[in-house]
Amino acid sequence: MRKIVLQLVLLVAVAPALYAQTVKFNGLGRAVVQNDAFSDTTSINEGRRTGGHTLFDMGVTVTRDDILKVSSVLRVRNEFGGFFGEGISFDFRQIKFEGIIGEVVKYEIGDLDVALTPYTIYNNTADWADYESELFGIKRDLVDYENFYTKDNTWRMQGLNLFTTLKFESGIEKIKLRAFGNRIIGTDFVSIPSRFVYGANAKITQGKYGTIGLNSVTTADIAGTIDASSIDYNNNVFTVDYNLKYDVNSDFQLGLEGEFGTSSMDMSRAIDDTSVSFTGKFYDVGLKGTYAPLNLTLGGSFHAVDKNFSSPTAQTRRLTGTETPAVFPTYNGGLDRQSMLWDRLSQDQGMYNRSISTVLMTYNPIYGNVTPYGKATPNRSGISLFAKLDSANFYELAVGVDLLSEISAENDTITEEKRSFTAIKAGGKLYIDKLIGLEKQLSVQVGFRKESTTRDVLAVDLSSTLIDFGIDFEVMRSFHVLAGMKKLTASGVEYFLVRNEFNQVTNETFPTNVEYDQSEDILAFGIKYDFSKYASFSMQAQLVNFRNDKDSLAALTGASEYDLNQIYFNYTVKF
Amino acid sequence: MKKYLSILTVIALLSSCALDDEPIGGNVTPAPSDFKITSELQVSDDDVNFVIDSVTVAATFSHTVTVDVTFTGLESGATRTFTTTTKELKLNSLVWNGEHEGSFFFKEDEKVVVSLAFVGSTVTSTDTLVIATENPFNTANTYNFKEAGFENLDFTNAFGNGWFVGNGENNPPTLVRIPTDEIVPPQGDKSFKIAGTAAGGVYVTGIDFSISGNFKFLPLPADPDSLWYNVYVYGNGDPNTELYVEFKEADGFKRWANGTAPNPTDGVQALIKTDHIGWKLFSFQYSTLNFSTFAPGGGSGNKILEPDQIQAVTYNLQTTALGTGQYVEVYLDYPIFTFGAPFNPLTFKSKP
Repeated sequence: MRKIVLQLVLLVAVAPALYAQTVKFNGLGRAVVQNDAFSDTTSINEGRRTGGHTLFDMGVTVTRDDILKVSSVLRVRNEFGGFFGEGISFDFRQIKFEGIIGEVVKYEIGDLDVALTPYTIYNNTADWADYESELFGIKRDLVDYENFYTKDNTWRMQGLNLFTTLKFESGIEKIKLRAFGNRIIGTDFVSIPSRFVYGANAKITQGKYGTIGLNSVTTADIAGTIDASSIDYNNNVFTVDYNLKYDVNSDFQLGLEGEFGTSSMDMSRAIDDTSVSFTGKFYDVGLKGTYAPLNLTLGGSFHAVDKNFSSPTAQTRRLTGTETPAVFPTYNGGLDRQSMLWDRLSQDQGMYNRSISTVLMTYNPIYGNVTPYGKATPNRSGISLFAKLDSANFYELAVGVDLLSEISAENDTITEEKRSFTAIKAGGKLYIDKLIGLEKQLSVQVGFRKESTTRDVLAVDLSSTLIDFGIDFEVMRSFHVLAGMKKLTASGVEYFLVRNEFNQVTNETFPTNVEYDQSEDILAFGIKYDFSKYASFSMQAQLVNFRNDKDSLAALTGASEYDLNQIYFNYTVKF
Repeated sequence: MKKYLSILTVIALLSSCALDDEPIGGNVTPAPSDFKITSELQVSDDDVNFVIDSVTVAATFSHTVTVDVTFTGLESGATRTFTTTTKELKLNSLVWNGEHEGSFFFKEDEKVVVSLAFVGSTVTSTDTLVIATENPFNTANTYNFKEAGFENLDFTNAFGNGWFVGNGENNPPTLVRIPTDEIVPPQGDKSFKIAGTAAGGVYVTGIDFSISGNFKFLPLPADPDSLWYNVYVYGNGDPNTELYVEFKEADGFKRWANGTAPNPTDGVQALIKTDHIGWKLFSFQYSTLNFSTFAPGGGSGNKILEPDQIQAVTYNLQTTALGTGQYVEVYLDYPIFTFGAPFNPLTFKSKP
């Protein structure tokens, strides 16, 4: 392997001279060391562990004559404790080819990051973290990078993208056309066929009034990739999205935005000769106004998604909430430890999902119960309101409210009472240095989210509160002292539905009743030094307390309570 | 632009009408505020042998309600929940044969708490029982290694007669092949750990089990469509860890599966990628398995799936990571052949 790497490096090094092509290098290097200390109520599993890794992702982009671009990322990773080559692994993290066919069609082949709209292809974030401390952000960025999660909410897939643009003299300005096909599951050559996502998108732009998009996405098994498949699956989503704007005057702009569409799903199972098909609809209509002199935006929307709307590439979760974490996976003498808030921002390997699920994945409602599958969450309707204010670098504020309810009642054909969902999200960042004229940065940020779910007849009453707090003080040039806090509390009762392989809840299916009384606290203190815009070093201590007074295994273990403390060092270089 | 807006409006209106609002899921009847238990919970047997018997419960209520009857093992954490809507739990209307939900099995000599929970009420009632003998899952539809007398193959007891370490163990101190209680196994007190550090190749280590003597085979059906192999595997999330389970079918005239002339052998392989965390049940229909292409190790047979000719089972631990020094590990528990369907601890009954 090392020979291959050496040859690759030499090839890249001499290639420009041979072919007069452009070669660019970029990369990310990282060294992480962490020491964890864990203690639970039984003292059986008290322990410490030290881990970490060093890695370097070397990106090489070769461009020739503006018609061909090849980019690859080679990863070298060494786990903490590996010496003299022991423990080193080499991987190609990404290979992508881009080019232009006949000066008309642009193509991309290889590892692609794909997103479309919130109802078609969209990788929703696992947690609300808009105003968390940078100390948590450092770790969350690492999790996102390792799992190919991006700010554009893309899924990493392997396949093909084709693009072209049609320009017009009058009426509309242009139409961007895109077709794509990506494999999301490879066959196991036994019972699972290859599963692909393919489709097309047309984005019509009228410069003055905005854009309208037509989107078609199909998720389907490809017959013939194996002799006899246990499942045959086909799901089609067709939507129209729009983002229209109207300038009332030079200061005030109105916008109309949203999406509507349908889905149809067909699925058959060979083992019992069962086949099903379902169709679903949704619509989302939003209105917003922006007042430029104040950087103020106010908006609201109404959306409804029926229970059978199926869009796996928009509804797949990053986490189920029931994962067993890789760090201290057991407690109290060998019981599986359920992942907590801290694990959700710290565990870069093993926990997060990167593949598309055709069944709505389970979730832990204390981490988000209002729209657990993003905007495309089935069986929801209601209004959402928001306001944003950004005051010329002095402060930024945002508040949002979701007032939703179910469209179909669950487990109650008599009263057909539906759950009501309320979410309040608010946050802000205050740049104290700008206010009082400090030369060095001093900022404070606060985030608050409260969710509640209620239903009377089959009593549901679950509430959860998440509070974020962070301070960033640049005591010397590029040297920051940071502090952060996260506090989650949740209590009440909620029911879980179990879905079968066809993504359905049958009349024979009864919900599971779960009680919650849980609190999680994370305190973090640390420093960060920016060597340059390319490199930084941070060191932090995180103190975590978890307590669950309604653990279903409490009869065996007593209350679930444990502490997990971590010292964490991170050196990252990007160029 | 007005034209586009008009079209949009019409489509949106058409799309928005008649969203499906039919209720979903089984109907649940909550307990009213004056609900009470009129006859406390009683179990039919407080010392049950699931080889020959089962458990049923009785209780009566003031109203018709939806009730959860849950059996919880106080040592294993195993659970079994029945949900029904009724005013009376009559004896024999609900029968528990010792089966369980999830990965963990009830244990022998384990105390079990039986509890009632009602939707919409905090009223509850409990009783206890002890499992004298656990559900052996030994039926006409299973081939259970332990129950068939092959305890070594069941991974329950120590490494012993019939087992051989795999080839290529040139660095024994790094290799582990032992029954262990390091982690809580799904069934019994121990699972089997196979672990090691790669010495530069894909293969890390392995174990073989051969039935002693020629002309002896596992008593399995000849029809590969009707046979499933099932095993619980504990993964630690490492995407580079792979476990090959290989069934050696003897095809030569000496009827001895060792893969060398004149004893051609088919190696029928099931690949398990252990990139999950925790215990997971893997099930393979025999007719969907592939033949090994490695002739000395079992790629020299007649390429006909003949599960009734299986003389040996091999577990090979591999790594897909390149380079040396990759430590990989896997834990195995409760391998079981089933006939007609994959193993499901909830539906496989203890008695024929």
